[in-house]
Amino acid sequence: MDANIHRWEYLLPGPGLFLRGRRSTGIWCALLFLVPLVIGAWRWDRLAGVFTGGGAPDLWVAAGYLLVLLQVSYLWNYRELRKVEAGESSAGENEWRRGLRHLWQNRRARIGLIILLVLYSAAFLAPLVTTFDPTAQTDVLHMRFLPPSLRSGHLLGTDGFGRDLFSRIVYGARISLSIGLLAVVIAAVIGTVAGVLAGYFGGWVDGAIMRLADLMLGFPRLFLILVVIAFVGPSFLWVILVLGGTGWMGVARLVRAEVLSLKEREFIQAARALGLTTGRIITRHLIPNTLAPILVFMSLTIGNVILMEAGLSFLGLGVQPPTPSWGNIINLGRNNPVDAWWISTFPGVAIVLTVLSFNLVGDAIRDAFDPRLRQETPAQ
Amino acid sequence: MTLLTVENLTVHFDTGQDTARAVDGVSFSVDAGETVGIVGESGCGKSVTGLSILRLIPMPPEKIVDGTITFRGQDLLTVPETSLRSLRGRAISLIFQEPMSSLNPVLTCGEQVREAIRAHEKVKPADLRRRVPELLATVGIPDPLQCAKAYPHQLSGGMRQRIMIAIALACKPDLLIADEPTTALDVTVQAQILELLRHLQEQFGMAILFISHDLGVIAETAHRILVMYAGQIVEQGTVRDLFHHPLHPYTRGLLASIPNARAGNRGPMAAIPGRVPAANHLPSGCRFHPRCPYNDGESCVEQDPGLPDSSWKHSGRCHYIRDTGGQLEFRPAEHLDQGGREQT
Amino acid sequence: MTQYVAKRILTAIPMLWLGLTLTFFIMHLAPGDPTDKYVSPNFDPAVQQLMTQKFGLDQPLYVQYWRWLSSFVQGDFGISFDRARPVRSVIGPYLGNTLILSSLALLVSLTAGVFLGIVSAMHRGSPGDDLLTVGSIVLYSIPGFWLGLMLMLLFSSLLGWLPAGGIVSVNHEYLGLGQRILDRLVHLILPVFVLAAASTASTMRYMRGSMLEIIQQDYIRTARAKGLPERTVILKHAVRNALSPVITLFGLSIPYIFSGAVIVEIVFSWPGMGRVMLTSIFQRDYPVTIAVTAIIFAMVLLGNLLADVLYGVVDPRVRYGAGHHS
Repeated sequence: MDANIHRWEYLLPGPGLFLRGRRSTGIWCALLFLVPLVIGAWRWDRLAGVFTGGGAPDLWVAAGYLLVLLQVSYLWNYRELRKVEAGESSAGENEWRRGLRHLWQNRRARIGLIILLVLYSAAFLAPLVTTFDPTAQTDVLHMRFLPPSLRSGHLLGTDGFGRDLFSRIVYGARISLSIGLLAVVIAAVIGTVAGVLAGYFGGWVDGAIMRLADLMLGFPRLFLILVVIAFVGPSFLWVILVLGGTGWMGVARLVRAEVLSLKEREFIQAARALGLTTGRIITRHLIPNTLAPILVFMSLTIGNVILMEAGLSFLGLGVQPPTPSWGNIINLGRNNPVDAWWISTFPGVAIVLTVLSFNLVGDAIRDAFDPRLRQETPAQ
Repeated sequence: MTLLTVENLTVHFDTGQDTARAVDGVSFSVDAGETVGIVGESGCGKSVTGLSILRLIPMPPEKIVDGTITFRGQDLLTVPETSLRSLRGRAISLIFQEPMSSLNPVLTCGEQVREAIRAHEKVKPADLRRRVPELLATVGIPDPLQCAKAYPHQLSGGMRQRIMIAIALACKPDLLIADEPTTALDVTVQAQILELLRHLQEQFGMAILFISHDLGVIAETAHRILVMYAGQIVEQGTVRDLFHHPLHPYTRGLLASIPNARAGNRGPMAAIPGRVPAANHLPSGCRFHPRCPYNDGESCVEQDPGLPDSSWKHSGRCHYIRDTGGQLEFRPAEHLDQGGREQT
Repeated sequence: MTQYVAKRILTAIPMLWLGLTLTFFIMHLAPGDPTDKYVSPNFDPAVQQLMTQKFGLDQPLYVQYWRWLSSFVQGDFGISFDRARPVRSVIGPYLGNTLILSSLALLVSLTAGVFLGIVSAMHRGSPGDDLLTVGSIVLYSIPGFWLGLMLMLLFSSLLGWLPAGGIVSVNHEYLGLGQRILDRLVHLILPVFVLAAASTASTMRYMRGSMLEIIQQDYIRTARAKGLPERTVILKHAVRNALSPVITLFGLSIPYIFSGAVIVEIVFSWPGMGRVMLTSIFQRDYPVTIAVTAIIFAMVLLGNLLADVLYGVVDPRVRYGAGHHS
């Protein structure tokens, strides 16, 4: 192809890059462009609800997500074409770029990231991707316990109340993924605050916080959660709060260690000499430097949090039916393990895929961004 | 009687991107009862040479490309692992530089010595109980029984090195390879350990291959010296020969850079300019030429001088070395072109 | 060594006290009055007043705390609201079952994890190693309850090889002694496996990493230089050093085993503390909930103590301190 980039290459993401040798990038851009269009076209009838002003917020979110995907495909395509034009190779040398590159090259991480992308997309696009209402119980007598089949439209079968399992699993993804993320963020926030306080102020503050952390670490986490839920009752909100509230200790330790080492470094002393207030020092200088290990920690623990949420829902103390959560679907399926085996099996597969992907990505993030934790060459 | 003969030992390391030629065509021999010193800067390949004799460097990154090491009629480089193991610690022993990290922190010192004995000899527990303290006493440890029960982290550096020596000597080896044994020790302790080694050599009649970067230490202990640079031997000879008539410019440089208290205040300390080349980026021709004051810009850059054959008691690897009737001498004025000289 | 153990015990006691105190205060954060449970239209307020007095709920908080603490450490855990029996008799039969399950799972995960970690490190890069590594990540990602259900589906419902839960078979009393032992063992297989799975996976990974690091140490080279056979070098020199960090980390996984036990007990109908805990939650039987939590906490502390002792056995540096005078 000639050196000048044609107009159509900007308008149609993907092929331009592909033909210019940037194969995988080209394919990805094309996918990101085509998939939303295909889904949009296929489900136009539902999407139209957005324009007539009758769509549920769900639908807005789904529509927005499609637009985001399109936007990303255009932007990415544009940037890469620009780079080709300028003759750069795709090597940006800052730390984050290098880390991301490393991440992408790790095969396992790549698989994990792709699975996560599919899962999150399914969650955002739930109203468009599913054909049945996850909570509707229509014609229970005839629709219950239908096995998975393509013909009936129930890809994964129906449960004891005639509800489509596939839809329930997709909507359940929303629950699990959002609880996971929120809980981990809450834990990170609490942990960062605790760690900074402990590390920066030292003395009895440090002692008290760390003592509390040790104590909570010594408690089996599930028991702690159960005890709290026992008193406040199960609900979506409390599950998130409790999961977050019992996971801050690891972050706190990390942050405290970072702060302790950073505290003595010159730039903090310089900041103090300049008269910056403590608060300023903490927010502008200390926290940004601790960000990387926190992110690593978050990516490593989100899988575990999702497992715990599933466990809680399974026990009946998490998300309550009829709201679908992978855990409570499996719980309902327990009554007919052999006859309606699909009810207990497929949500579990979903859980495994999700947690596995997070773990794979988390491992790779740790290898890529925190060389301290991995001395030798990663290549596994 | 010749104990060990190393011929043309060539060891390369595969770094993934390129190959590091750590040791290139090294040949020497060690006779029974003598001390041969290998001296050179860090990275010159002396430790690799010593460790390769017992094949103690992990093979995947290391590759022994060429050479033979003859000991008691066997080539140590091709002998099966099981035979090699029976030689290790028994006929040939090794002591290392860092006594702290070279001793297992979770086993008592006594146990580590016992292990060395048990590995090669069938000894009754009662005999072991007697031999270990004896051995510890031989290496100069004041309280052998107490020491045997102690763990490495409870002892001082000098004591730990003595333990290492005790382990090495447990089965009365014919050859002791000492890889920088005193480098990590205080100067006073250093002197004690050297004295100990000398003493033990007399007592046991063993040969020592002494590897060090410290020319002074080598001078004290060795009978013969090999000077290594960038994986090659650049000079070899007796201590006296080397110190009084150094042949190679590198040796001269090393000697000149030894701080001399008696020299008085004669200006800045002499040092050899430049740095030791990395084993994967070696200069062409004579490997020392970038740093050599006598570099002629032509043959020094193009051609490796090679060592004269081993019949010479004192020889060096340099284009300027000339045979002046029975003796090799360094003649900067005369050069290869101005008259043939034997090369290998 | 005894000094080391004594020190460890001394540090554990305040932790235990802190844990119990925390538990107590959580109990008193509970909304509502425990006696509310008995309230009904015909309920005479005077009776309620009497109950409150009897349970000592009208006393100031610190008095209640002291009463509770002192009776607790003597083994008196109060009266169960639900069963109107001493909590102790409610929990008693089940404590042993949980202990058996948990200790076996801990044992299995430690030994299997260490063993597999060594094997994996020694054959680094081989397809077997890759399989083990990937396998452990997968195992680590599987929810325990689902694994249990799937395995039960496979081995019990479909294949009929293993029982579908419970601690003994229905006809247990009618079996001979040998058969009875076998019966118990067979019922333990699946629950222990599921409970130990995640812990085995993480122990294996830690052990592998630790071994790989240790192998590069100088003293391993010394051991080889002595002419020791490779097996001795690995088992005696490498493993003992590699174990230390793994044991510490293993200690951290003890709480997880107890957490996991709750779920495993539910899935396999195992009559243990987890089930008691869950029932007490649904029944709002607070004394039982609190008692179970506190007991579990004590068991965790005990487990950590044992792990610390084990650590001291393995690494003499911890026992004798760094008396380093170089």
